[in-house]
Amino acid sequence: MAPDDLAYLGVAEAATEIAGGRLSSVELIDHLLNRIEEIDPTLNSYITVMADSAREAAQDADMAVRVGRRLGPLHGVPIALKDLYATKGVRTTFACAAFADWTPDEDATVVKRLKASGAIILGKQNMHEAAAGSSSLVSHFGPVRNPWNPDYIAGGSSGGSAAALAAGLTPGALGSDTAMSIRQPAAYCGVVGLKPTFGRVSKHGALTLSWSLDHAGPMARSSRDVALLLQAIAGFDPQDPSSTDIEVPNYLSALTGDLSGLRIGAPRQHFFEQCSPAVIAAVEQATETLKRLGATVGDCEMPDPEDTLMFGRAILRIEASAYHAERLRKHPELLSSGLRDMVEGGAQFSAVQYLQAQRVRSVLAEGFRRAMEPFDALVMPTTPWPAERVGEDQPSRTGPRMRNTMPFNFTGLPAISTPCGFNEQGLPIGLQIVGHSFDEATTLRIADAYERETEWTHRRPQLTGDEPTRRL
Amino acid sequence: MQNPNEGKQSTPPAAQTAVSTVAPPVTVAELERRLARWIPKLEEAGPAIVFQLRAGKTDGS
Repeated sequence: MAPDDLAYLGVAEAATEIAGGRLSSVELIDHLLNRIEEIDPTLNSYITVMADSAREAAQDADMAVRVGRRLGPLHGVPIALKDLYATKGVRTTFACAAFADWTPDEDATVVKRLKASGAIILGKQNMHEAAAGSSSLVSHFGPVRNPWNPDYIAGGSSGGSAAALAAGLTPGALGSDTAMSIRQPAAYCGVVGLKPTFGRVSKHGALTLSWSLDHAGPMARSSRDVALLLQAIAGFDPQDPSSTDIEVPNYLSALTGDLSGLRIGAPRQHFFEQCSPAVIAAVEQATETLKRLGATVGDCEMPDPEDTLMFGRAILRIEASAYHAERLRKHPELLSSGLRDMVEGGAQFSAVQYLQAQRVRSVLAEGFRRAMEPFDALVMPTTPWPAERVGEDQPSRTGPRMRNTMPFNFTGLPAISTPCGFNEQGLPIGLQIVGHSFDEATTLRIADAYERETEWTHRRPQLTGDEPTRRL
Repeated sequence: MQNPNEGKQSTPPAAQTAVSTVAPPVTVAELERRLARWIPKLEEAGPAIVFQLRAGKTDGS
């Protein structure tokens, strides 16, 4: 297999080739480790590369093939983790000085489930400090850069995961999403990211930004690969109080490539406003493609989207403040100034305001549910504009960046971002597809059919380790 | 709450306005202002549940 093919091999294809004995897991992992060494000094997408344990697990996976034993649907496939998922015996840093030396004694539930499916953990990925930002420039381990152009941000907070996927440094990853943090970096880096329904994927062993808004979810370079990863990690976990005991369907069987009969809503008010012309053009073209694939696309309106954004931002700030309050009191020097500001600001709100905001949330979630009744899914831009230059980033951009994504953290609905074009600077644009609660299958079905019909997920950034103009 | 999409007719795309790229953090005063509009509608909200009991066993059996 050609080196570039190996770097961009998908999760599904790698699993099939390895389990079939046509590709060695050791060969794939060695290739990725070499590539990380060559390319990642530019991107800084990894905090910890687990080279030794990954090679050892790959040898076990190859041996299992030789003796005819299948470890699971992800047999021998390397997967990387945003560095907020606890890994037994491996530091889990949250990209934050306060956690830089924390080594958990237990894997997070999702990590256990990936391993039980045969996956091999390749490393821990860089992110915005404490998941509390949208650029991944603020990290105790240095900023993450966008593989399409390192002068631009990768987005965040799962910026390292998105950048590594786009650069061919892992076939799959786990991110987390409190307001945008899987979907926005996926859009900025031209990869696919799914925020599942609240309660679908366990958060036990994941560090917290906001208990009631955090979601764990998969990222990859195709919706098919995202579906495979979701299959591995989804399901009830009694160790997570927010986990929901509901059947997990077969996601791969939903990927029919056919959208006949599907009714898709386009909420033009709010979600198509305040966007750059390139984003609107790409998303409008995508809706035409969905129609060609058999879906009907009609306008719709969601109730009070601005309020979902405002109350969501307030709840996030208050819960983050509670989570970090003791750290701020004891070791303020271990939090960045931006995180300190967030924690101090959140402490200004009253308990009554917080509870009333949560009550508004239940009314708005019901309003969204009813507004979606005539449709199977919604489509809209993932972000109002593509990635911005590193020098233009500022904390006050975070609110507008989550304009189209936070409403679905607030209401808990599943939402996926898939690439749907590029702007004039050659930066990717994301299409967001939102489903009914616990119906990730329909969002995956639509995204997969769209990806088969277009070529956006097959584009690769021009990246080499020795290209002087791409060095920082 | 009314369903805004019941019997909805197609409408033209929303007019593009100037793109706003910055927003300050949500303040206590802003939250209070927005809450004031919502308080009369919270009859249908029910309680805010912030405590959930875990299952008796944690091994899933």
